[in-house]
Amino acid sequence: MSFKSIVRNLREIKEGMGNVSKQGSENRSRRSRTSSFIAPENAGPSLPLVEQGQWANLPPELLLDIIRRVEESETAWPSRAIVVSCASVCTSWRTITKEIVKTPEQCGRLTFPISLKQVVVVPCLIFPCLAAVLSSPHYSSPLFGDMHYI
Amino acid sequence: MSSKKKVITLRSSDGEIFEVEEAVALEWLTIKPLVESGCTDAIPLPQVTGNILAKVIEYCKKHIGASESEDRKILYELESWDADFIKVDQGTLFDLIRAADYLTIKTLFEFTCQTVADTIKHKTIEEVRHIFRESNDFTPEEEKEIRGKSWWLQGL
Repeated sequence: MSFKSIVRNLREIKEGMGNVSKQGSENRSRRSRTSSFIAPENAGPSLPLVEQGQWANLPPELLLDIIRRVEESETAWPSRAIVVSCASVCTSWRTITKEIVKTPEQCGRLTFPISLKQVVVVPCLIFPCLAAVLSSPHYSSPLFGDMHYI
Repeated sequence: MSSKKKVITLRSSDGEIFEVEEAVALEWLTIKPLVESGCTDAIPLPQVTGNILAKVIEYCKKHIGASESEDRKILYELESWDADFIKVDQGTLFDLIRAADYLTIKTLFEFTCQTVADTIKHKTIEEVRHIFRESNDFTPEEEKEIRGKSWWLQGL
C-alpha cells in the first residue's frame, strides 16, 4: 500500500477534516463558518459540532510534518528512542513514522532494529560467525528486540 | 503624501474585523494575491476565529522584520517573547497550527509545529495517545511484538 493511499484512507477514517488541504475548503460545512472550521461536514443536526482544538482532527500531512521534526531533532540514542515511541502510538503513527525514517545508508542514523541488520553487513563479511548469530531465527537483540515488524 | 501605511482589513469566521498593515498581510501567502491586487474590502477568513486571528496577527507583527535581524539582542528578545507567546493550551496550539497552515504563514507554522514536536519528545506513549486522541489499535500480537521485546519502551 502506497503512502498516498494510506493518507487517503486516514482522511476518510478521520472525521472533521473539512480543511485537510487548501483544495478541500469548498467542502466545508455551512455551519463551520460560525462555529468551527473543522466541523465534520457529515455531522447531522443532532450531532454536536466538533470543537476547535481537537488534536484528533489533525490532518495526516501535518502529523507527518510534526513527526519528521521529532525525527530530525533526535539523531542519537538514547534520545532517538522517541522515534520508536512515535511508531508505537497506533497504526497510523507507525505508518507515518516508517515513511519518515530513512535507512542508515541514507541518513547515517540508526533507528529501528532493522537498521542494525543493514549496518552489520560489512562486519559480517569479515566475521562470518557474527553473520551466523544474527541470521539465526532465535536471535533477538536484547535492546532492540523488534527486528521484523518495522 | 502617502507616508501612512496601507492597512488591510480581515474578517474572522465569527465576524470580527481586524486591521493589519499591508506588510504583515503580504507574509500570508494565501491572501497575498488578494492584497497585491489592491483589494479594499474586508478579506474573509472563514477558517480562523477571531481569538486565533488576534494571536496570529500579534505573532506576525512582532516577527515582521525582526526574524531576519542579525542583532543578537533582538533575536534573544524575540526568542523570549516567542516562549511566552506559545504558553497556550493545547487546543489553542492546535488552532494556531491550522491557521498558520491555512494562511500559509511559514514562520508561525514552523514555530508551532516545532513546539508540538518538542512537546512529544517529553511525553510517554500513553500521554501522546491522550493528546492526539489516538487509541491503541494494534492487535495483541503486534503489541506484543512491539513492546514485548523492546523492554525499554515500557517506561516510555
